[in-house]
Amino acid sequence: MNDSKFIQIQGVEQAFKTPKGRFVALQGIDLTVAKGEFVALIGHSGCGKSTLLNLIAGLTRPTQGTLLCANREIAGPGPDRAMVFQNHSLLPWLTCFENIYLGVERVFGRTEKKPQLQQRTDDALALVGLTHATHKRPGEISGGMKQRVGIARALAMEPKVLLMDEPFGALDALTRAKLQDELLAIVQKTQSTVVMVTHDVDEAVLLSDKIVMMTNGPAATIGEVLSVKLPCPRNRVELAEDRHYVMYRKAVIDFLYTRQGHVEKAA
Amino acid sequence: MMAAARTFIRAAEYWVPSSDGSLLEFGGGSFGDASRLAAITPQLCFGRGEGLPGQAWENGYPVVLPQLDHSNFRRADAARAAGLTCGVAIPLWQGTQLRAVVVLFCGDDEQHAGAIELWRNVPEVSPDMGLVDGYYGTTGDTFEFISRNTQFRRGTGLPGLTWERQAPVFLDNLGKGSGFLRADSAVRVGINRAYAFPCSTNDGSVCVMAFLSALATPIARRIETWQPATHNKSPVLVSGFCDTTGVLGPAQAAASPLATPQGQALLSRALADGAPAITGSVLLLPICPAGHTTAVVALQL
Repeated sequence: MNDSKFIQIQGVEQAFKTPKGRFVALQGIDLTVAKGEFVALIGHSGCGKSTLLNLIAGLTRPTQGTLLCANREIAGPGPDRAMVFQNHSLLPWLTCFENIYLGVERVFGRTEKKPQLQQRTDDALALVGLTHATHKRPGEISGGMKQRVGIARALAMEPKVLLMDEPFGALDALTRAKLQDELLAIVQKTQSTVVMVTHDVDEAVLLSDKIVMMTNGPAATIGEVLSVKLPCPRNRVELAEDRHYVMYRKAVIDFLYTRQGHVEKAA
Repeated sequence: MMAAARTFIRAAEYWVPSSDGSLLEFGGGSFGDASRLAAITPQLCFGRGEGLPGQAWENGYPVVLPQLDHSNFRRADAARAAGLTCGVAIPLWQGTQLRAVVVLFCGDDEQHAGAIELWRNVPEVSPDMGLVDGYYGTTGDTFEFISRNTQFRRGTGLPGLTWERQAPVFLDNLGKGSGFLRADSAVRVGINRAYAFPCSTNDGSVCVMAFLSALATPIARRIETWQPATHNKSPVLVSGFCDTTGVLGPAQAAASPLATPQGQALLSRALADGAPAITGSVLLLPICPAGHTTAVVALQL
């Protein structure tokens, strides 16, 4: 398998039937993601970022084009592609441990015994620093901790790809920063391939190897791709004054604001 | 009377294949005040892969030589004496047949800012158009850094728009609202105009050459884009820019240095056979992105 083409999206179009007729949300989407790469999808609301993420997750099928993951067509959802949503989607009647265990059992239950499944669950909780909250229910922990459980649940399934749809969008700024730093450390440790939807320019530059900037919808497509070549590990305090970081940040802002209101005129 | 601003492109020449196709021979040139370059150039010829013109022939797509004192440039002393800092070689292909190689020489200094970028898409490798090489002279590294890390899709940005239109694109007054995606970085380093045209290649790749310049340093005195007319009429001036009179369109055709019968004949010939020409200080550069000529760019130096 070619590691530079771990995820391949070729000529993808996504259209929906609406009472007013056919609505093309995405068109002409071509994108490759390398193994271990962290890719951020950024663009204005309604540009189809989440639609594209859902296509990679296999939650929807494209009306045209193909999507491949590890050379296999994405024909539906699978444990090789785990999703983390803005809304953590935890089951409120289960503890943090049980929420994660549920996913672990589904993926590894046929091949592994209970102690191994429990160990996987404990490891995932430890990875996100939540060992102390093992037996707490979602209603007993903060929003940031809930999101950590969501990430732990996704990572516990050892997915080939981690798909994140504005994972920190509902959190306050300080918690978001803390979780971003934690995610950076986790991804560096697990070498996961990540595709993340975000509205946050700083988040995109801080976390990504590649920022995919999308044009405004309808019929949105990829406009520009920015390669972020900042050294790893990344430290947000040091990067705040890094001239290259500032340049990347400016380039993304230029794209988003130049495009806004000039959809047909971009050059 | 104010002296005219120095242009960013200061000299041009073109090379044509010899009768047996083994060498590139001098076809013509306009060298401005680069007299030493003008004196030694006509005696030269280049094999495939030799010198700047031969390198473009070998590659099959344009070459940017950001440093003219590079070992592959044989006329470095003469170029340096005339203040020329950068060279660009553009092969003109019609199918697999090389018609000519056009070489443009540029110069800048502390008072004259400009940049050249060569963008290329290789369809088998990527859907994006990325920077092959560029010359950024005195513009500093902010703009260069962003350009080197950015890839454009067809239809987006100056390179992507030129790629989509398969025709020259001129953007005046870059800045807020111009739609130039790197506008902020460009304006900060003094760049406020951009001109890009698609180039022909012989390997299936798609290339766009972009010239970016500051008000004080026009890309050329006058840039005109001519397209063939229908019904056997004269070629049509579709767009352009003049250093002194501003934006050009069909209404300004009569004021073109190519408005003479000789100029029109040269234009018609360049449009018909894809061969470059130089008359006085005007270079006629055929644009043949898909192997046939769709326009001629006239650069008055």
